[in-house]
Parts: sequence; C-alpha cells; structure tokens
Amino acid sequence: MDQESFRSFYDKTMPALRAYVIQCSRSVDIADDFVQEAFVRFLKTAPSTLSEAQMRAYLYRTVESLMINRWHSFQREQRIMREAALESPAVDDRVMNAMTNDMANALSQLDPKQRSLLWLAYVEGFDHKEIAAATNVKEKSVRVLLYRARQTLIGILKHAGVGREVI
Amino acid sequence: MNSEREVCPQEPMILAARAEGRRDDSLAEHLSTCPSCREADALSVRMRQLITVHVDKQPPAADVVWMMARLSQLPRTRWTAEVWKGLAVLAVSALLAAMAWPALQEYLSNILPMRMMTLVPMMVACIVATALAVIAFRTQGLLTDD
Repeated sequence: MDQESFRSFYDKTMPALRAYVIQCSRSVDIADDFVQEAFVRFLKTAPSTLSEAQMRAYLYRTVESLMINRWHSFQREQRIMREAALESPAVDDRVMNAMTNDMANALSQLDPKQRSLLWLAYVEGFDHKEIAAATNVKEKSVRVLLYRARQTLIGILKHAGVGREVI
Repeated sequence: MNSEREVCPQEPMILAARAEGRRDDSLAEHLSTCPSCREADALSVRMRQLITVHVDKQPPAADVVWMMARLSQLPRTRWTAEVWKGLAVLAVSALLAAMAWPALQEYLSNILPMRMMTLVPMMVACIVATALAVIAFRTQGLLTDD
C-alpha cells in the first residue's frame, strides 16, 4: 500500500474506529493511542492481499486485543490503587459530552462482545461472515448473538425513556 | 417481542447500504414494508451519529501514522554478492596471516623494538576493522531499510 492509498483508507476508516474505541475506553487519549497503534501494526504486518472489509476487520481485531491488554493492566492498577487507598481515575472530561448521548450511555452498559457485534453490524455495515472474522465468533452464531445484543440495547434505551419509534 | 426468526435476511444489505451511504430503491421499498429492518436502520443511524460527536482533540494524522510505521520498521540486512566477496577476501587474508604468523613475527621483531611488539595485535585489529568499514561503506551500509 502506498502513502496516498493509505491516507485515503485511513481517512475513511479512522473516524468510526476511533469512535468505537472512545465508546469502549471512555478516553480520547487511549482511543488515539490505540487507533494509531492499530494502524501502525496494520502497515507493518497486514498482508497486502486483504480486501477493504478484511483490512477493517484486522484493525478492529487489533484494537480489541489492545483493549483487552489494557483491561488486564487496568485491573492490576485498580488493585494496587485500592491497596494504596487512592481514588480511581475519572472518566475523561472530553468524553463526558459524548456520554450524555442516550445511545452512548446505552452502548456503555452492554457487554463488550455485544457492543462489538452491534458496532460492526450497525456502524461498519459488516455482514455476518465479516463480523465472524473480526470477532472470532462462529458465523452461524453471529445472527443470534446480534439479535440478542440488539434486543438488549433496545431494552436499555426503552428503560432510559427512548421509545422504539424514536430509535 | 420479536422472535429470532423474525430477523429479516435483508438486514445486512440495509445496514451495508447505510454504512456506505448509498440509497437503493429496492431496499427503500423493502424498508417501508419491514418493521424489523426499519428498526435496524434507525438504530444504525443513531449509532453512526456517535462517529460525528465532537471531541476537543485532533486525531493522529494519516501521514504521521505512515511515518511512524516506516520508522518502526526493523532495518533488513542486505547481504549482497559484494558483501560476501569482501568478507571472503577478509577471511582468506586472516587465514594467510595466521599461517604466515611465525615468519611475520620474526620479520617484525627484527625491524621493531621488542616493546613495540605488544602493539602488533592492536595494529592487526585496526587493519581488520578498516577492511570491514570499507566493505560496509562500499555496499552503502550492511543495514539498510530500502
């Protein structure tokens, strides 16, 4: 991939990927670090034969992996902080505006796997096969898991006072 | 509540069209008759709004990411024929020097004072290092990222 094609791919892909990591991590700084790291890894190691959907799936797999690693280190930090009787870090202020959005709040209450499935289907427009490749879920299971995730999300939105007709 | 069988098979196409920002008459017609797809489409619109939520921080620029990837690439060793030839010449020279060392030492002890003999290994090391530097320079570096 040359620099010009990368720029075009990046500009097209980065906003949704960044928004996804912001939703998951609630931190703009972490989102920018992970997005940057994911694209750097992509440039260094992704095979050149990937289709565009596969390239996006690669990026989502990478940020998922980075977030899982961060979650583990965060757990360790939390334990250390509890032991030291310190306060836990607050949610990034810059994300607070975004989090006031009903949808962002609802998504934040979902299980990470459900959030990931919904994002890939409803934001990225991935089909079930592409979702399966990006999330390591069996293709046959995607339909059911996606349906359940959608029902959970709608349930949360309804509970927050957002009607089905407004969704 | 819908049953899982009520999830419309057209839904992935509706969502893909929404993600790509294209409008399709047949899909639009389907949307007007399928409540499940309408709900999915509405959810997609609401979720996609999150992409445009303003954040007071610029994301990393594409060119910066490109540059970082280039800089973090490990340099690859370029073992060209010229490098191999230079190393072979050096190895043969070292072998010949080792074989001729007794005669060479006798010759050197005749022309150099005894205390200078301790400097001979250092001089040999300097010659070998110079030869390696010449090989590296002539091949524009053993390590290159080209």
